[in-house]
Amino acid sequence: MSVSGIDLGEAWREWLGESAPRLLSYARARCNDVHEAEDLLQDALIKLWGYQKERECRPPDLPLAFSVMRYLALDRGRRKGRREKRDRKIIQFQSGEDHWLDPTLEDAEESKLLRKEVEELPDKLREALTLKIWGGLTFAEIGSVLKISHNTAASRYRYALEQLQKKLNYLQIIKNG
Amino acid sequence: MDNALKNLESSLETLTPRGLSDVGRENCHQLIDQLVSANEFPSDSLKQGAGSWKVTAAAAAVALGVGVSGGWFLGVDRTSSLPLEEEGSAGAENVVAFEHLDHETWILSTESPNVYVTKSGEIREISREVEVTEEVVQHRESGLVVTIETTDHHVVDTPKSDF
Repeated sequence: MSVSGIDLGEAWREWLGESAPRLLSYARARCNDVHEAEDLLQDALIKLWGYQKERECRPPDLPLAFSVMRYLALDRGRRKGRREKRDRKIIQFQSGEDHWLDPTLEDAEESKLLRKEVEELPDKLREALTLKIWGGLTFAEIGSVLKISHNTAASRYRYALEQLQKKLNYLQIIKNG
Repeated sequence: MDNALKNLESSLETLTPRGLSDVGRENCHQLIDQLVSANEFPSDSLKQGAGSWKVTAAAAAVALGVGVSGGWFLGVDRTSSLPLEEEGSAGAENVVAFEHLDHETWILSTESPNVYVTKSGEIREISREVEVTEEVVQHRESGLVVTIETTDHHVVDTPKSDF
């Protein structure tokens, strides 16, 4: 199908190719594993397609995509919370190697350490950091996605960096004895 | 922002977010194709493709609703009172057209029980519970996922054994 000479399928695939790593990194920061994150991305695609019908089904802007991802992640978390009460009594699946930042592209010990510390940040700080660094959003856009002011978004981002820096300094001191 | 934080920011930027897996990418591309084609032939779809799933979904929702209310998914043996397959009806075919993905039941709200005394002097307590059942099914042909949520209101009336 084409709108104004644009092949929609191709346009969306191209958009997905560019945006998927960013959106997935955000989804991974909010989900337990990569499969759940990819499911979330597919759910978001369906929602976004519905929203974009008013705009000739063109691929959406990134902030809108992040907003939809966030909404779906919250909804999923709410549903999952109920399930976990039941599931926790049965079994817990935990993969120690399931990281949302690609470990194959990092060799340096520092990078691995950094990745680990990012994953351990509190949710709100990690969310702001993820949207800024890997989502490529401005503070105003982050504020719009998270329904907070751009000042709060900037504060959370800075606080995340400061926490990371403190932790890395501490680990460095321990390492050097 | 001091230099240490700027350096940290630069280090973070070198960490690469993991991309979609091959399966995930393929699934997304298939999904895009489905969305595009559903959008491309809306009128035809109503008559044939997507329309058939809508009709089927509606019928299946009814069939599942009957199933749920009949205790089908609640583990109660009601096969004799729910002869879907025996009937060979459209309902049975529709259920076959769907894959059952998930089923969840939870109590949405409870209230503090009220204690009362019966005419015979028995002490009982009565309360209300709202039970929500969510069924997630996928239409095999189109891949579309349908969620059916049913709400049941129960009155729980039990003898009061202790205070």
